[in-house]
Amino acid sequence: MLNDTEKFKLGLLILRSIEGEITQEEFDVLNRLIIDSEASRRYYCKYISAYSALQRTDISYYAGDDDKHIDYVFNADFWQAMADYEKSATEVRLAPSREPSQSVVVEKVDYGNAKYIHFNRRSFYSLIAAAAAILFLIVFARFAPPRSGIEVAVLSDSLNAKWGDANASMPPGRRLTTGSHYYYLREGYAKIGLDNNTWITLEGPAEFQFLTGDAMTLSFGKLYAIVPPEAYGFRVSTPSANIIDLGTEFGVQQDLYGNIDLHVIKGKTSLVSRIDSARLNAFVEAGSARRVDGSTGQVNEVAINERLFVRHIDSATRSVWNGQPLDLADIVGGGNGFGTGRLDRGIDVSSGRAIRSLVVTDVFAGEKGYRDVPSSPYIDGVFVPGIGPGATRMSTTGVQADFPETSGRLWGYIFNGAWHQGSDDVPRHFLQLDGMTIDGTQTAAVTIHSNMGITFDLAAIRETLGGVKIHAFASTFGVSETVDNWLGQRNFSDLEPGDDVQKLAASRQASVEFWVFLDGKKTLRRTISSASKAGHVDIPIDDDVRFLTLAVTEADDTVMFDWALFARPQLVLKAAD
Amino acid sequence: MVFDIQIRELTNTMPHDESSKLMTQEFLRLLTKSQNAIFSYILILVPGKCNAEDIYQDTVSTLWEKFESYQPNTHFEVWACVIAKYKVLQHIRKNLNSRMHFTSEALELLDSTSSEFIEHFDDRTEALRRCIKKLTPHNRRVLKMRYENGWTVKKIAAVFEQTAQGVYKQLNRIHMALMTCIEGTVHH
Repeated sequence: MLNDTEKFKLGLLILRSIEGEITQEEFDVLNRLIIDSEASRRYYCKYISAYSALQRTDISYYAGDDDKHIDYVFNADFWQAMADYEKSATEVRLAPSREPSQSVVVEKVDYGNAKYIHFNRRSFYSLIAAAAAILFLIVFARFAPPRSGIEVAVLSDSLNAKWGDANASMPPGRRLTTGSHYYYLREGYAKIGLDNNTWITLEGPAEFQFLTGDAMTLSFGKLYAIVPPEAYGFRVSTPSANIIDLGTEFGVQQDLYGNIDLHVIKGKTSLVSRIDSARLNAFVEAGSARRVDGSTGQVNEVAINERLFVRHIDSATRSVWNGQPLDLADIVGGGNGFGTGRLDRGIDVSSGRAIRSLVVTDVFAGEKGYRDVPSSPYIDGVFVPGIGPGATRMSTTGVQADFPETSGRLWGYIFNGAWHQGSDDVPRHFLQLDGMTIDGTQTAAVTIHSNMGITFDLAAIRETLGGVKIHAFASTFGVSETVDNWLGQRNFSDLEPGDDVQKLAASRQASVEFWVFLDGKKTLRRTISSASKAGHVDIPIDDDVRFLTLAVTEADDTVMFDWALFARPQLVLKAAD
Repeated sequence: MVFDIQIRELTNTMPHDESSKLMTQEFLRLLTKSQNAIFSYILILVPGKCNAEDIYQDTVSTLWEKFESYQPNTHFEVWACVIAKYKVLQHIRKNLNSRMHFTSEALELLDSTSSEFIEHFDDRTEALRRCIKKLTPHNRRVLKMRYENGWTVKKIAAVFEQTAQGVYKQLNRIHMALMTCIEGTVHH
């Protein structure tokens, strides 16, 4: 009979053998084990038959409905043995290692100039009581004494989380209870699912307590709540006020001095004063925010900040989502859509390789065919549209679409940024749309010269988003107005006088066609010139759409001066229902 | 999946007269029912999924060629595995230069041990499906990436910003959890 450690080691050998990654030395060990140990032989056969069955199973279909997760079947000794084994096991690298990822940048809590000091609870509430009364509108506060020890929520996920001493063991999956004890998140992030289907994301330092299944307190810290219709009336109590949900998403920030920020992203909340001497209440609606000064009680309307609160975390992908859209230009630059990509970096359409500068400085002939992009899991591939008769392939799975036949000639590469790379007669410069210079930093952009296309793999992107859904694709697009600076004086006598050249010479405006496809289905085709205003697109994306394709073709006036770009190409996201 | 493509290709080459049609239907019915068990048997004997898939395709072609010699109402997968084993040995003989194959002693031991698991393959597959439900959403997601989407270990590693070894360990842990669950389900 094999123990867990032996099974683990044998399992790794078997898996690597199946995948074709096993070394000769390792295989010889496997062969020996199979001969010498009946237990190993039986385990090997079981493992292979389970592997074969997994290949033919529709895993998505079997969504979990059982609270008893089998992932925790192993005892503490096993995990210690694994930790010891993993320290000594040979590392296998298929590619150069990458730097440990950093979490997506999140705005830090600004608690003012004061340093954080951990008060004891009694003196803290005395301080609040001694401060000026805080005034709000509408009375709804009802306070039911909580029944202690009732499980009402589960810690769904955490990222870089450190908890107070009393809560030292807080693994995901831990059930949270009502009662007089407080949960103290010293730092990091925690995502909690209440049994009433409300989701709470907390950013430490934060202290909170559950009163009932639909009421909690926030002593201090930052909290973002997504409350479904069935949890209408969900309440967050702070030392100074109660916030009651009326069908919303909202963020609450309570600092140590009694100041409260409430930002309502969706729906409506009410604020209820907890100070009897001034019973004020207010409805706060979506798109608005209130700040209550803890020392004066003054209530001010403030500008809503939709990025102030962390709305979703995913420890598997180390992502922290503040409601920001996913930036496709960042993905073209080799990133994950949240700022890890690089400017200037892009994809060579001829090879599918990631590059950082021009490979060829002149116009050149593209080749038919679809190139996958191994350097990015989020980019399915690139292609040259409209070469020769027949449909153009636009995905690794064979999705195709029709384009008008083009010259198949290209210039440059698809890259993160918006500038002309520079050539013999045109200096390097930032591109412009509608009078605005696009520098790639303040305004993200993907530059796609005519006769190039790129397909993004939305399924791969969704895997990294965890519980955040792709809602839509939005972008501005156009041909840079800077074309006019050089096209006006261009002498075309050195070119063969074809119709397309004549048209360009006559109009002195460069035209291109912009295309957007979802799973090969055309959702946008627009001709825009360097003299026309930029276009805007906002296309809903269903959950089952896998591929988003952007392409630019030359229209009917050559590829010259086709300095086309998508500015702020974004995937609009929202938290899953 | 290689199995579905195989069956489609076979169907295209099969004769269309009435008695041949009946034989074809019967062959396809038996093959569809047993294909997972046959592939599993081959994968037990031959390291490497790609090699196993090649041998499987070859085996299916031979099964069809020799189908007239199959005795109806006997165990199709037992008959098929005899042919599969022959194909495995043929593959090993062709690739003697590579040392990445089990020795004769190991092959014989695996052949006799595997029969229990091949015979109960369907029960174990049903148990697996119930056990998948008990995984955490994250682990189900990793399995989906690998087995449903067909992502390579390298691609999964890139998505989660791990090393390939880390992904292997993660997959291995998930496999172990599933197998423990399957044993519990099957014996219960």
